[in-house]
Parts: sequence; structure tokens; C-alpha cells
Amino acid sequence: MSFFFFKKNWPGKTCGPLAPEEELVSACHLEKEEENEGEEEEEEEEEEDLDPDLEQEEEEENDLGDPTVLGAVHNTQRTLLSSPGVKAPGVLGMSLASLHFLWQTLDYLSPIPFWPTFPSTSSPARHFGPRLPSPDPTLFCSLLTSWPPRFSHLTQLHPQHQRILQQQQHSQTPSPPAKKPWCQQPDPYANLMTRKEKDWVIKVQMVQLQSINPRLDDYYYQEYYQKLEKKQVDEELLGRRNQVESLKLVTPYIQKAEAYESVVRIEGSLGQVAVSTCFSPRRAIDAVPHGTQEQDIEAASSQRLRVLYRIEKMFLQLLEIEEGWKYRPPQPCFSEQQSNQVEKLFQTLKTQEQNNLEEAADGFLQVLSVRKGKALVARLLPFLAQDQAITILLAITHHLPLLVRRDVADQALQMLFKPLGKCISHLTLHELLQGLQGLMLLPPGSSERPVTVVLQNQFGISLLYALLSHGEQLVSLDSSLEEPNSDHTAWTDMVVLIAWEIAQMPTASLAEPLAFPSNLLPLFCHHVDKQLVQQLEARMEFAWIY
Amino acid sequence: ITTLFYSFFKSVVELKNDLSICGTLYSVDQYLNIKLTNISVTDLEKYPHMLSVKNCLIQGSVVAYMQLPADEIHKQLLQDAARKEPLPQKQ
Repeated sequence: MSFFFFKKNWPGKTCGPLAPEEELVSACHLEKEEENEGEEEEEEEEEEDLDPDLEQEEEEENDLGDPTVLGAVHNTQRTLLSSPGVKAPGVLGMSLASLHFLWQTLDYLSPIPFWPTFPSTSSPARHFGPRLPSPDPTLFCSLLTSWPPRFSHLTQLHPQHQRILQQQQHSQTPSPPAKKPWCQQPDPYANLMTRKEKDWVIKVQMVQLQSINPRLDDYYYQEYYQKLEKKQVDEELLGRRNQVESLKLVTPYIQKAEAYESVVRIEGSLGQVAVSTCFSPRRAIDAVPHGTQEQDIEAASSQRLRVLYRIEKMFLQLLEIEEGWKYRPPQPCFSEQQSNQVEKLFQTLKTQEQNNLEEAADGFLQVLSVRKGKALVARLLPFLAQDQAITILLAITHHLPLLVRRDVADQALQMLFKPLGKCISHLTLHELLQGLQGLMLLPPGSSERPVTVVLQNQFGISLLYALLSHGEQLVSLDSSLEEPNSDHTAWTDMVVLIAWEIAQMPTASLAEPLAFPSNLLPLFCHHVDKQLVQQLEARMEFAWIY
Repeated sequence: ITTLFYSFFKSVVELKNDLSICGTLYSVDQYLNIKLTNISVTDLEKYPHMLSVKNCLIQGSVVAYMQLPADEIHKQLLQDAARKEPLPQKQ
């Protein structure tokens, strides 16, 4: 039974004497009052406070013109009301209010032809301002009449919201609920605003939602729900039968209000000419800074601030690269522009502009000493060319003790492990040896090799094991040559030395690696005597299966 | 209990006067005024005047911090979104 028929049958049961055209309005209010039991908030106040994002989620129904559908909507509302235990008044009141708002929006946006049965209620108030385009009648005609309606691409219900509404619909009983809305107390807030005024307020709120580029304006929401939907799709594929079809979330594209130049600069004038419109009655001061702030930053004495500033600039470049990669045309490789961007970013990272090589390395290490910098490098690595990635890997390996020491507070080096692991497999034996040799050199005035510090750190030991594993792979593939190679001997020495160092460490100080390569113990067996292997085994603590 | 909120943003809002309020995020507006429902004062109950209050509106300018639930938020995405804020005059 549709709500509207209901109303027509009991015109006398509305509270107080009402003009026929106000029937709908007051019924709205009645319904509203019932929903907001315990809540004294006025409808208007509530609407204003709705989060624009929430509005996007729930209120963009422009297309449900079909009265059957509208009736179904309303039945759903009443079901929600009568569901047992629905007593989260704050939340529910708000949600029902938004549903109600939604209903009103439908009401507000439905074209006249869809209300043929109620000539008395089709009032001129239904017309709204010239700004809004008239809804496309073909769009309405194509709607299904069954619930859930196939919202057009203009609709924006959040998928879980949609799902819950569906469930409500499915679970509702065919008989109408016992509550009789017309028996309520007279609504003290009825008729404070006319339909026209309400429409106007709604229209003003909708203006906020206009967005030409929702990907930019509402980046977090769009991306987050894309990920959510992807996860749901994956879950479905795994066989967990969600009956959900996640709706595509699209912000409605409404013809944006013409852009106006609010600040007019006339050549030769002092300052600005104030242009006031109804959107910004007084914009006298240009509070937005023009130009760059580089000069200010340069003056800042703090080294750390400078590094952070550099990292942020690089992040902007990285985000551009990632965005370009996500929305690339269907070729799997980089466009030239993208390669240029990557190259530029890489150069910035390597601080190539520094003439002094040591300073350059220093700049890079400073970036890596900060958690943000590590995140930047970790995200950049997949985009880099092979040789560039190897440069970074070798630099990290070379300075590993330093990085490990600086990472004690953050413990953030772990995020570099996976991307680095991928480029380890591209190392040649020679490069590998170069990288590792630095760790094995006894610094002057110390009896401790740098590798000891590395072994005590989780990232350090994981990286080391990964490098050793790769080396072992290379050597075993290469062993068909059978000639004593300087690299091979260097490799053997290296392995022995590392094994010895591991054996020297007390078991408690050895960090647990993130990944333990399977060919590591055979590697040690090859080069090292039995006793040492046993010591290693005890320390490495893995299942040794003869 | 069926609800239409797909998630409850239970957050703790710390004000500039050191009052910390825990509640469910109800709405936010352009000034970052925050409405919380079902609130409780965390930390100390040395603010007993809040005992009977269930819902509140907090003016945006007095908010010092807002703690959001970690599993509702994708931190990296949020950081990227903040970086992507359209820069002034660069449209």
C-alpha cells in the first residue's frame, strides 16, 4: 500500500485544519516527528549539519520518480521504524532523517508528470530555480519499478547503506505496521517553512555537492570506497556469496555555477578590486599566499625541516607518477612523460645537484633517516628502472649500519624490505660483493665489524639473508664454469666471514628475520665446517631436516 | 539492532582546554564544528558537569586534536589525500 493513497483517504485525520496542498507537507512533519522520537531537533537544523560526504552518500536520489518506488521507499521507512530494538535514537534519528531528506529530495526533484493521481498536490512549489536542469524524463522511464531500484549513475548510495536498505525491504512483513502516524500529538513545528522554502534550502545544500572533478575534490572518499569495493569483489570471488552488488559511487555531475573571478586585478592598480557576488559578498582580503614560499624555507635554520620539505616536494611528484600509472592507457609500459617524471624524481632523491659526492650521499641518507623518506623510497622503487633501483639498493646496503642506528626509534625500515627484495634478484655477483664488502671491513680503531650492528636489527638481518640467498643462487648457477674466479673466492671468503660473525653473536642478540630463504643453510654447509654449521643452526633456529 | 550507519566513528576529541570527549561522530560542517553523540568524558572525570550530557556540539575552533579509529582509516590514503589538496591559485 502506498503512502500516498493512505493520505488521500484520511484528509480529516491530519492534525489541525490544513489546506489540501499542505497535506503532504504536514504528513511529512508527522512522519518526521515520529521518527525523531526523543529528538527535538528541527528538520532544517539537522539537514544543515549533515556532513557533505554523508549527503553525497545518501541524498543524491534524483531519479525515483515512479510513485510505486516512492511508496516502497516509504514502506521501508516505516519498517525501519517498527523494527524491534531499533533504539539508537541519536544515530537512527539522524539516519532516518536523511532517509526522509532523501524522500523529500525525490519529491523535490521528481517531474510533474509522475504525479498524475494527485492534482491537488502538484503545486507550483514543486518547481525550483532555473539553475537546476530539468530531470531527463527518459532517465525516469527506464527505471525498474521493483526495489531496489536500479539507481542511475547519478545515484550515490554507499554500498553498505544500499545493502541494508535491501535487507530491510526483504525482511519486512507484508502487513502494515501497527503504528498509526496520524494519531500523533499535533506537531508544534509543522508548517514553519513552506515547501518552496524547504526546496530552496535543499538546493543550497546540493550546490556544495557539485563537483567537476570528484577524484580530486573528494580524493579520500573515492579511493577508499574503490578499495572497499575491490575487497568485496575479491571476497565474492573467493566464494563468499555476498548478495551485494556494490554500486558504482559517482558524484553527480550537475552543471556547475559559472565560475566567477572573485579577485580582479587591474593592471597598474594598487591591490585588488573587490568583486562581490551572492556567493562571496565581501572578499576584500586575499588571504591566500601567492607565489612560492621557497625563500622562507631557505631561511629556516633547521636541517630537519629542510629535509622534510624536500621529502614533501618529492612526494607530490611521486603522487603524480602513481596517478599517471593508475590511469594510464592500456599499455603496460611507461609513457615518455612518465619516464621523465620518474627520472626527475630519482635525480632529486639522489641530490645530484650536489657537486660533492659525499654531500649527495648524505642528502639521500637524510631522506632515509626519516620515516616519511623511507615511505617515499619504498613507494618509488617499483617505478624505477633497474639500474636506478640497484643504485639505491647498493647505497642502502653500504650505509646499512648507519641507517639501522638511525632507525631505532621509528623501526620503519621494514617497509623497504619488500621492494628491495624485488630488485635484489637483478644484482650481479660483482655488485653484490661490492655491497657486502663494505659491511665486512673493520673500521679503524674498532674490533667490531659493521655487520654486527646489522645482524641485531630485523631489517638488517633480513636484507643480509636475502642478499646471501641471491648470491648463492648466482654462484650455483654459475658453477658450471668451474674455473677459480676472483669473485668466487671473494664470495667464499665473505660467506665464511659472515657465518663466523653470526656464530659469534649471542643467540639473544640475533634479530629475527622477516623472511628466511631456504637455500641459506645449504650455502653455509658448502663453505663452512660442521662445527660452525651446528653453531649456526642453533642460532638460526629453524627446522633442520636431514 | 539494525542501523543505517555503515560504521560508527568512535573518536576522541581533545579540546584546547584539555577536556577530552569520546563519542560517536555524528556530523561535521565546513568550520569543522563537530557533533558527537553518546559522549563520555575520557581520562579524568574531573569534569563532572559533563555527566548528564549525551550529545554535544563542539565548536571547531576549540578542538586541539581528534583521534580517529585506526581500522576505519586508511592512513596512507589519508596522507595522500592531504597532499593532494588543490593548491591555491593552481587550478
